[in-house]
Amino acid sequence: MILEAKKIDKKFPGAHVLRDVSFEIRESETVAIMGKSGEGKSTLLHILGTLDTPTSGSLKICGKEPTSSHFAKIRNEQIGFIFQFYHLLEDFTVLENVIMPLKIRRSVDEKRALALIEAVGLKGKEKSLTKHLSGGEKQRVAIARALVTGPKIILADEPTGNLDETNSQTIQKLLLSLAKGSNTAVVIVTHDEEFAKLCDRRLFLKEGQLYNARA
Amino acid sequence: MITLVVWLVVVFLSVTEGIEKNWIQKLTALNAPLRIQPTSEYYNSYYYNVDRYSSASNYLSKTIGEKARSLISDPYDPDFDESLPPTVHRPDKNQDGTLLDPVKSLTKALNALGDSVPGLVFQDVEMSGALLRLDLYRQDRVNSSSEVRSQLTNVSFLASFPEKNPSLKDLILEPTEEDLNHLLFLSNRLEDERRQAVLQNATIVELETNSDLWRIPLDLIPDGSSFSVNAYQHRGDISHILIPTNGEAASKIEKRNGRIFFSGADGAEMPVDPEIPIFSHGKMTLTVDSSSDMSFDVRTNLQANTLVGKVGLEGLAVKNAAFALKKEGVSPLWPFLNEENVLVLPKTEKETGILIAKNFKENGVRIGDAGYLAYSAPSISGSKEVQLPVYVCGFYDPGIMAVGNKCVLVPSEVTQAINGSDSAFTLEKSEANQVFVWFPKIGEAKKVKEALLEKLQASGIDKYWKVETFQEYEFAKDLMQQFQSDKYLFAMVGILILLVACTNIISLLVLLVSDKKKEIGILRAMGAKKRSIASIFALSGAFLGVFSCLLGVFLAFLTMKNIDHLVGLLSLLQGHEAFNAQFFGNSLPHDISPKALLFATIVTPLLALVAGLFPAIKASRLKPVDTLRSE
Repeated sequence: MILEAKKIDKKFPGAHVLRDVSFEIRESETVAIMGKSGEGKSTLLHILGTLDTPTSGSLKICGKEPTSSHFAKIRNEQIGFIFQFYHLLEDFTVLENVIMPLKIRRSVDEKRALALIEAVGLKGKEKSLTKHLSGGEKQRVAIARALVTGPKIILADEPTGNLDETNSQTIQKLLLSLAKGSNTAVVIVTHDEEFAKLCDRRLFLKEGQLYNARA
Repeated sequence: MITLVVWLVVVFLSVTEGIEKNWIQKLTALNAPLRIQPTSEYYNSYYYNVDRYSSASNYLSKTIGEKARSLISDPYDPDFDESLPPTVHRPDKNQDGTLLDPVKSLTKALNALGDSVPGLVFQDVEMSGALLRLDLYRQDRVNSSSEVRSQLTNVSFLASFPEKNPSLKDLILEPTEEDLNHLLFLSNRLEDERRQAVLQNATIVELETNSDLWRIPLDLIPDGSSFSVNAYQHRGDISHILIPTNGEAASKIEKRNGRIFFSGADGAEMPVDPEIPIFSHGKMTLTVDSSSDMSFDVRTNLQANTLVGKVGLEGLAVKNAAFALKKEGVSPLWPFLNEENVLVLPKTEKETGILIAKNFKENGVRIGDAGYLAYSAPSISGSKEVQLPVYVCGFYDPGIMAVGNKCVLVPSEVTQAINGSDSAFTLEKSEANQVFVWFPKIGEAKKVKEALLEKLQASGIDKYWKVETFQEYEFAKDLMQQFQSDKYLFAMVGILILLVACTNIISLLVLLVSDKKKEIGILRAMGAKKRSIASIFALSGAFLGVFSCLLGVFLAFLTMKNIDHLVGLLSLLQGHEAFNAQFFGNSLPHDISPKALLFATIVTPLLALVAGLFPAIKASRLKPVDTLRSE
């Protein structure tokens, strides 16, 4: 089991966002979490990624319950993030962005980074500043960055929410195929039903609770 | 901002410290870092008073110097001298029954102290007073063949020349070309033997013309040379010819076979009578190749020609000369080192050389000006004025003196003569005769004093002597304290401004943190530790501090090196001298004070680092979710 969430509860002042959410994610499984805006999909994803902490409930990553002092290490080694707004370091090049997680870990492997850049189809743009890239290209960089550390799981928050249809489909396929290829589990928060259908499993978040979706 | 503050602090502290050092040096140069004054115990003692009743002392009281040189401690012979009046105290005796000799014991103590304090020298100095009157003879500016006489009268303190003072040489201003010209003028005027003393001890390198017109000796004009000239006529004949030093003129002269030929604008040539004067028109400088007495072998360029030959000093003055400061042959007329390498004041047959304060020089007194010191001495018919002929042999920098510019340095015979004459001019006894102690490490003055006091106590003579370091001198105390408080005040103001500057770093970095919130979030999401994020910003702060500090120090360094230009600019802006030379010395100090540097290079980066910590902590506390949220 890569990830086990048990009875996750999250309250914000004046809002009870997640109620008693429990679910598991197995190795190399792809899971889509769907739901309306403001239902707490991103919050759930952040909790799964240790960027946020639940009000109550427990979370196990790779069978262990992490303590806050290990969050940074876990994020660096086990988890890759992909965001709707890419969140790249805009003043750095494609290569620098992709290699950054390795730099944080202090084990720079430029070959691996270059191979991933090639895999996402950005060969030749290694030295371009990310701020000069198109949305689709930016998301490719983000995918390469998420995969560079060889994480057990990728958490993607609306990865195609900001892209046009053609680009969306390319990115969806790219993400899923690369994840499958490297045995990485993927949790995708998305509005896009077509995208969700490509995943092994689909979950719905409604009024703070998680439901399994039937096809 | 930090750069500015560091620059300001370093420059200010360097300047004040330099000035203070300068002052202390000046203060201790003449007054010595340590002085020993006789107490009233001394003047009341049998030891001091007995001389007046002893034939062996000629019934005269003795100075400290005379006491030190005297072979016997107790000159009184009860069998020969009349009995002592009851006002004379009983003698203080040593344990072995001999008379306690405070002066010889002091000398011994100081000699012993010299073993532990390297470079320690001491000398007894006498002060007295007299009226100084100088006759100032000057060449008339309008009519150079006549002269003007003025008189300068000054009630002066006299101090015996402290030849043992190690820094004395630096305090005495070297003679200048102006002095030399004046001495030559005076010796010409009196036609006395001084000319030899002047010419043998000064190497004249360059002469210059006194005015724009100089009559060129015909011998100087080489055969075959030609000049473009302006000729002036009187009743149809040429009256005089001017050779302009630069620029062309209408006519021409040429020298052939020892004769001068003139050709005018019309081209007609005619010989010129050798009696007709030929002047150079414009300032000229003549290089002196050699000289004997008042005749100089010179070389100079005029138009395209080189003039070579012998000239006298008519119409010329010394522009550049080197002065001998050590005696070789005839003694110079200025202070010099004698055969034993001791600095001495010169003497002529009639007059004694004296040194006066340098401000007299600024007021037009020159070396060679002579006059007399007048003091009253008792005689059968009452008191009479004694006039001691003297001449100014140089100027000294009085620095900070109790009596300031009014002090005249004279050979010790003079002060002895005046003090021995029961002059109407009496100083307080403790000031009139004291012992100065010099040593190079001025900072250790207090230690030296303690050590000396211990030795004086051990020999039982401590009650006779009052020992003071320069910090305790009555006339300098306030100033020294002022320096101290100035420095502290400015250091405090500096730290305050530095603090303000550091808040600038804080706000700058806080802005940076808010600006980089997203990037901080991204890095945190990728697994960067809080500590790493904090250190980025803390180091930015420290870097900013170190960089600004280095820049400031560099600027301060540049400023100190070029401070004279800066002062010049300030003076120009103010319309008068920005820094009074009397107060600040001839030029402001040029060296960076090590203390200021230490202050700047340690305190500033430290403060900057502390300032950088606030934003760093703020950055590390940012929650990545807040910046990464997509909804």
